[in-house]
Amino acid sequence: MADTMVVGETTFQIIVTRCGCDQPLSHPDAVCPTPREVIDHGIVARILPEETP
Amino acid sequence: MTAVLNDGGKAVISNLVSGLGGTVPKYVGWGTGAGAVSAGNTSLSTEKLVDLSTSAGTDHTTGTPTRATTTVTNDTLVITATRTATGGGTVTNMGTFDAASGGTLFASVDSLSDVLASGDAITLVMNTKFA
Repeated sequence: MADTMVVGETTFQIIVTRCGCDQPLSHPDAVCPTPREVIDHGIVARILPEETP
Repeated sequence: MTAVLNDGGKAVISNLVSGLGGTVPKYVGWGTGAGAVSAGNTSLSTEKLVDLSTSAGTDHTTGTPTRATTTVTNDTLVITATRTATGGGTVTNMGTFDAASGGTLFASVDSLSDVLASGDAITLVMNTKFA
C-alpha cells in the first residue's frame, strides 16, 4: 500500500497584458482593444503535494 | 512564489464530487497585501476590487472551467479567467473562489509584483491535478 496520497497539486500561470489605451476602460469586464505589452510569467508556482503518513 | 490548494478548496472538491452541493471554483480575485499564502488561509492578502485604487472588496471575475490531461486522461481541472483593472495598483497575490463575491478560497498564489494601470489585465490559468 502506498504511504503517500496525492491531492490536488496546483499550479498557476500568470499573463499580464498592459493596455495601450489612454482612457480608463469603463467596464470591469472590458477587454483592452490595443494591448501594448504582454508579459507571460509562465508557470509561476508549483508545490509538491502534501504527504499523508 | 508558492501556490497552494487551500483547506477550503479541499472541502469544495469533496462537496462537488459527492453531489451534495457546491459551486465550481471558477471565480478569480486578487490582493495587494504582503505575506505568503498558506493552506489554512480563508482569504487573500488585502483583497481588492477590480479597481485596485479603492478600498478592499471581494468582487470576483468569472472564469471558464475545463479539463486537461497531465498524467492520465482528464486528471486536471483548469480554470482560466482574465481580470482587468479599472484602477491602478500592484497585485501581489491571486486566488480562485467558489462565488462571484465572497465565497470559499479554493487555491492561491503569492509573491506577485505586477503593477497595473487602469485597463491592464491579468490572465490567470489555474491547474489542479488529481493524478
